[in-house]
Amino acid sequence: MRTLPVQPVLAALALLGLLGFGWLAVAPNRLVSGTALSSFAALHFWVAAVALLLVAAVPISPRRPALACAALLAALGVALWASGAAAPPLLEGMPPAARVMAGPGFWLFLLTLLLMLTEAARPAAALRRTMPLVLLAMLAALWFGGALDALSLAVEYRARAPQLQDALLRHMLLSAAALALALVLFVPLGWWGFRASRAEAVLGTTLGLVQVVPALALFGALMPLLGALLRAVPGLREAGLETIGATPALIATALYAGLPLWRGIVVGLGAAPRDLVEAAEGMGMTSRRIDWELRVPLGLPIFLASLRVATVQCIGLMTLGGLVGAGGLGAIVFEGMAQFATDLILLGALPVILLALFVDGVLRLVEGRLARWRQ
Amino acid sequence: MAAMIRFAGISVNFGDGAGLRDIDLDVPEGALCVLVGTSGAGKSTLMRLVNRLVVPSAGTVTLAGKDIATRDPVELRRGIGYAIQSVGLFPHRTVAENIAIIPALLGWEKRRITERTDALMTMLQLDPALAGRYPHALSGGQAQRVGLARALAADPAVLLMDEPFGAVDPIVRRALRRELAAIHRETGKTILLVTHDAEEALELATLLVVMREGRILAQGSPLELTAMAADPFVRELLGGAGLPLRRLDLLHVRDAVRPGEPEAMAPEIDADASQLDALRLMLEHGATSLVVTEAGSAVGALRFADLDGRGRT
Amino acid sequence: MSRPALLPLGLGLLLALLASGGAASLLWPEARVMDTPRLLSLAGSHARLAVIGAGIGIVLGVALGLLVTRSLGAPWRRPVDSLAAAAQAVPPMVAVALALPGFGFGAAPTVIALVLYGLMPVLRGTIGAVEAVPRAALDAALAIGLTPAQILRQVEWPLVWPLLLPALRSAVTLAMATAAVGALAGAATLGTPIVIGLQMQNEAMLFQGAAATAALAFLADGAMLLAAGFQSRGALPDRR
Repeated sequence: MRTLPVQPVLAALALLGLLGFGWLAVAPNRLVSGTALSSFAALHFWVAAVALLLVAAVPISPRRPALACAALLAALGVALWASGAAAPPLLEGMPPAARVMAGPGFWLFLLTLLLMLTEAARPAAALRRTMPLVLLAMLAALWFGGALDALSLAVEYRARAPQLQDALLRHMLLSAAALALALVLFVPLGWWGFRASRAEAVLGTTLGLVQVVPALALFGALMPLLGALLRAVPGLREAGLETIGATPALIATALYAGLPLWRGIVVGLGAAPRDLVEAAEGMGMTSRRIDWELRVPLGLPIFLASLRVATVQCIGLMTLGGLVGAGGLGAIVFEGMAQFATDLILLGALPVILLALFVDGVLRLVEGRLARWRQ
Repeated sequence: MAAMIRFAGISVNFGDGAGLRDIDLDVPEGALCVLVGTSGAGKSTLMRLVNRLVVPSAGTVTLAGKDIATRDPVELRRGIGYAIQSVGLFPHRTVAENIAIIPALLGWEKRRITERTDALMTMLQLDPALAGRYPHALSGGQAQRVGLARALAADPAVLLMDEPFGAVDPIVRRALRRELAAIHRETGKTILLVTHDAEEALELATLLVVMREGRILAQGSPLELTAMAADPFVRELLGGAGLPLRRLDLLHVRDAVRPGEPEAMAPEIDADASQLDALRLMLEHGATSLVVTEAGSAVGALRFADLDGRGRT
Repeated sequence: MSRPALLPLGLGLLLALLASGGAASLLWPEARVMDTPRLLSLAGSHARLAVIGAGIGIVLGVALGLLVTRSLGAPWRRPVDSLAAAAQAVPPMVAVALALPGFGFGAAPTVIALVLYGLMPVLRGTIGAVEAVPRAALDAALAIGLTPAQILRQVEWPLVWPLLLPALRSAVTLAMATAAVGALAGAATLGTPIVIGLQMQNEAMLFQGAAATAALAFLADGAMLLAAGFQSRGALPDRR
């Protein structure tokens, strides 16, 4: 039967990025988009090396996954290194504020190449674990070796490093706090919902409605609502509650994360098949034992999956915290949007995405480990 | 013999017409009592009364002379083995851990639990290598054996089995059935077993109870119930047109043997064989009588006319 | 009328009333409020953006979902799955922000983000629904000699689309929510009064924007529930 193979199509897309769109752009300062530069003009003969490695990886991909990964990693490494090396000569004779930024072709290439790498590593389990580590090591070597220093994202990073590190730390703390708040609030409610079907109906509907409210509206509405609350009960202000800052961000994020957590608990506790519960009863297990020895372990994969979804949501939603003065990576994104500064937007947005992907990946690993008994 | 389990005046009302009405039944100690009937007849409900998974609306259930309503259900259940059709093995526990559930609940010492688990696995012919596996890796027959081992783990005096071999293929089913019969003979436990398979019921039961629509229609030994006089529904349920053959399977050659010489060239059959085997042999050889042997020497003859005790009346 | 729809519709109407200029000036007598006609026109463009974005996303998502479940697109199943999973890690706001430099201020970055956000759940929903088609039905269809196109049209699609409704509903609801974020990239949406309110420390406008956005989301959700209720009644025998 005819099929549309993955790697050749992705390789064609990567080549389109490499050859068809602007690879780099040279701009007089960080706020304008500058003049586009093709990969030929930027990378010279290295383009050929990148293209060759890329094309060579395609036919060997299904049978020699390790070799294909190596070729793709090499293509990526050469492309990044050559781009970094191309920047200083381009900046010669330009004003000090001038920048060399990545163009749309670069981003298309990068994205499709990462997809190709994932696809190439798929057939071999060992490769699926090592490839990301090798990729990270290579990127770290390029970054810390200074190969990319002349590109605008690195320049922007150097100008903002302390601020970015603070924002990242604050983002993680706020997300963790929101998750903790959601856990404290909604795990007991989930247990209650499992025990009482009436509670389940009411809570499920309410949390479902919260989910429909757009995040921006909830973040926005919490400020006047908290304002009214604090005017009515001034004592809460002393307790550390505020109308702007962390308070509304934490409340809103925790409310959104509530639904997946709550549903995970309710569904997870109900995951133990009826006949198993009956067998346990028939053997003389007390209902407390059945909860802890049957319902909780059998629901664990579902609890963990819902925890993962909730955590990723917390990290993403906390970005809006930047809007209500809570700080975090969102504040950097908003500053970048206000200045229309691409690099600053990326500087805020990329860590959010990477953090979410990282947490997602780690929790998936844990999920796989814990459920040894499922095939 | 004293009744191990006694149902007296039991009614169970589920409010939807199902349930049980006016059940009186004594299960003697050491009996293998099989409850048989069409689905919805109330067999499982009757069985689940014993470990208080079902509470009667009226009447009492006594176990070894004590009204179970006066006993703590948890403690009661730990003293009763329970095996069900879907086996109900805990998927997140290994085979050994599954077998050890009740002993662990009862607070046995570790060493004693291990010994018991090993012994049960040997008794049920389970490969020791399976001990550390999770249930998903077991075949249907292996899972049933583990379920049976788990039910036997704390050496309960009473075993409840709800369609215990329902989910396996006919060959494994027959093997498991033979093992259960052997275990019953060796341990003398009182077993209450629910099935809808008449062949299984007739083969295993020392006491056969036929149920229909929440009532006991007939009870007695398989031989009694397969006798011609039994109720038409009972006959239909236990085999219909095939019933005479099933009945022959329950009877031994020994019971129909007569002294004297059979016709010349008659085939030989052992006195311990079933009369169904004898009939099979007759059909095969076109014979109307067989030489009955015991320990290799002839003890008499079996004539076609004597099968199923017809010659005796 | 399907009952689950009543709650969101009622809440939507209540919040819309609260958001109106009149109600806001009652609640915040001193503050400058946004008048109702302006809110209504913002609601109009908000809804238009959301419907365009979600519409493109839905069409693309269903098409891609059907493609990767054909034998032609089968090798794309896994990559598309991991891409969809990765895309879930990009919050809507970040998607709008990332589209901003490429497409400039205005409606475009919002529509891009909306398409992305409509596409992913619909794509996953489509794949899931196609996989839920019983193997036996497909075997029977093959056995009586239907072509792949006929199987798709006469067997798979009728079984798939009722299962798609929840995914479509969440795509539209998500689009209604994400469109509000578009205000940060300069799109005229109900997020606009929220952004103005934040910048000018105007609680009244902040509240109006929030209430109006929530109202629109609830109304859209209710409308989708209503539509789903009618559809499923027509298409499926009552399962209960």
